[in-house]
Amino acid sequence: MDKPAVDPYQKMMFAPGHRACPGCGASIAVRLVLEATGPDVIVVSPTGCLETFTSPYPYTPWGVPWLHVLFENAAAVASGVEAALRSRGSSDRVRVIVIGGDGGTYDIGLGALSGMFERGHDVLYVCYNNEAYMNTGVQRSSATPLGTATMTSPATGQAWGEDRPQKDLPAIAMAHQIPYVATASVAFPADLRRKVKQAMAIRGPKYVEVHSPCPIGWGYDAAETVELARLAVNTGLVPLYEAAAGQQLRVRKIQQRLPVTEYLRRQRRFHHLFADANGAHLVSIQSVADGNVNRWALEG
Amino acid sequence: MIEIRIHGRGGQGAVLAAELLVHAAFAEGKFGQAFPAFGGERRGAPVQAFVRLDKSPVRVRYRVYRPDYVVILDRTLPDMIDVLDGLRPDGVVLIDSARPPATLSWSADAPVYAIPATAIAMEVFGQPLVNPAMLGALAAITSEISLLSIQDAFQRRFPGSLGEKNGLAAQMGYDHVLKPDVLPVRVTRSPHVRGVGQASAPDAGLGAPGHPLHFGLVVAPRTSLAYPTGGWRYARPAVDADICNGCGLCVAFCPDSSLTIVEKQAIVDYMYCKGCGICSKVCSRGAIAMMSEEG
Ligand code: SF4
Ligand code: SF4
Repeated sequence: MDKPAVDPYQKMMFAPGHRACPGCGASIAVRLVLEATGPDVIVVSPTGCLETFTSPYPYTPWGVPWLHVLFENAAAVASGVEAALRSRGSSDRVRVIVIGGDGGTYDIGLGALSGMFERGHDVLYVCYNNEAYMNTGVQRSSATPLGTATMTSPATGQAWGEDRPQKDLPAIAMAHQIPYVATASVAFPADLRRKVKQAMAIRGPKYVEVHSPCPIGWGYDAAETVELARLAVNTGLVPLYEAAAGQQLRVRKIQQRLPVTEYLRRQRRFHHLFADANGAHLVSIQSVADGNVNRWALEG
Repeated sequence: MIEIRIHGRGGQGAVLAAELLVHAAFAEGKFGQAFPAFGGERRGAPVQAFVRLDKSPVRVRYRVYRPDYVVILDRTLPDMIDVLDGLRPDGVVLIDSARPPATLSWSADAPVYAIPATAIAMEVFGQPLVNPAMLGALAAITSEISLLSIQDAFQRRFPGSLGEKNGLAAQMGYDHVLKPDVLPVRVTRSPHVRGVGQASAPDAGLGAPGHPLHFGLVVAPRTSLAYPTGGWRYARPAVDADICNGCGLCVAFCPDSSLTIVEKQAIVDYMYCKGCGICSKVCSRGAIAMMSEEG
C-alpha cells in the first residue's frame, strides 16, 4: 500500500527510524506517554536502552527537546531544568518529564530521584521497567523479579536465577508523600495515557511506572510483547494502581486471574523454573502474585 | 596478512563467525584477530565483523577497510549498505543467496560466489544458521584455512551433536564451491544503487554526517526519518483491506510508529516497519497477516 498523502510524521513526538529492537516494549511506552503529555514538554533521559537507540548522532526520533544525562542524575538535571523554567516564568507553558529505565531509576539514579521528590519539583518521572539492564546485555537490577535468570543472576547448579525479592519502588515513591504515583503497562494504552494525563494535571513530583517487556532480555518472540505484558497484569505479578500522598486511590481489577506459570513458561528467562527440582520456586513466585492480589484487592 | 570483512544482521552470528575463523587459524599455528563493529543498532540491523589472519602476530588495531574477502550472510544487505566498500582489486565476495549474484544489486564490479547457505542450513538444522556453510565455502576458496580446522572450531564451541551438524554444514558449503560448475560471477555496478550508506543524510547543518563537529550539538527534530529501519525486517505485515475496519488498535501498539489510519484503513509504512508482528497479534479481527520477506 502506498504511503498516505498527508505526512503522518510532521508533528510526531516520537518518530520512527529509531534503533530499538523489533517488538521493543519501551518504544511503545515512550510513544504513549508523549501522546498523553502533548508537545510542550522537555524530556530528560538517563543512560539506558532508550538513550542508546534514540541517539546515534545525528539521527533523533525525538520531536520534543530531549536531554541525555548520566545514569545517576536524570532526576537532578530535570529538577534543574524545572527550576530554570520557573525562574524564567515559563513553567506554566513547558513541563518537564524524565523517561528512564529501571537501571537508572531503581538502582543508579535512586538518590537523585528521592531528592527530586523531596524538594517538590514539578516533574513527572516515568520509569519504563523491563526488569534488568538490557542495553549492556541483560544484567539484573533491583527491579528484576524473583526467579529471573540474567547474566549476573544465572540459573546454573544450585542457583535458580534472581533470589532476592524485587524492590518495590512505587512504594518508595509513595513513602515520599508525593501527590501522584501510578503503575501502568504497555498492554493497556488507554489506562496508561489516562494516568499520564492525570499526572500532568497535578503540580509537583509524580512517579509513573510502565511495565515494558523486552523480547531480547526476556527471551520470547517479538510479536508477543503485548500479550506478555497483559499476562503479567492478569496473573497479579504486576498490579496496576494509583496512589496519592501515600494512600491508595484505585486499582485496575483483574477479570480472570491466571496462574503465574501461564506467564512464566513463555519466557526463556524463567525456563529453568520448570525443571522438576525447581517446583518450590514456582510456588514462591505464585505467592508473590497472591500477595499483590491481597494487598491491592485486585480481584472482585 | 589477509583481511576479511563479514556483513550480517544483528543476531545472525557474524561476530561468532569471525571469532571461530580466528580460532581455526590459531589451531593451525597462525595469528589473527576478530572484532565486531556496531553502534546503537539492535537485532536485525546490519552489523560488521572483521578478521585478520597472518603468519606473524597482527599488530594493527583498526577496522578492515581494504578487505581481501567480503562474506555476506544475508542477500538483502547489499541493498542496505555498501558491502563492497574498499574491496581490493583482486578481492573476492561470498554471499548467501539462492539467486544468481547478477540478479542482486551491487555498488561496484566484483567476483561473487553465491553460496546456498540458507538452504544448507535449513536442511541440516531446520533453522537459517548460515555461518558454518559460509565458512566452509570460504575454506574452499581461500587456501588460508583448512576445512578441518573450521569444523574443529565449531565442535569446540558446540560440543556434541550440534557441533557435528555445524561440521556437516561446513562440509556442504565447502563441497558446493568445489563443484566444477560453481565459479565466481563477475557482477557489475547496478545503476540504481547508491554508493554508500543507508540513506541520504538529514540536512542538519552543522554536525551533519561528514562534518567535523560530532558532539554537543542540537539536531533538528525527527532526523531519524532519514534512517529507514524497514531493512531490518524478516517478515512483513500485510493488512487485508476487506477485514480491517480502521479501529486503530494496532496503531496504539506499534513500537515503530509505523501504522496510521487513513480512510478507515490501517496503513503500514514499510520504510520503517521492523516486522515485529505485534500488530498482527493485537488485531482482534485478524486483519493483519505476517508474510515472509524472502521472495
Ligand atoms: S487493529 Fe485490525 S481492524 Fe483495527 S485498524 Fe488495525 S488492522 Fe484494522
Ligand atoms: S510489524 Fe506491525 S507493529 Fe511491528 S513495526 Fe511493523 S507495523 Fe509496527
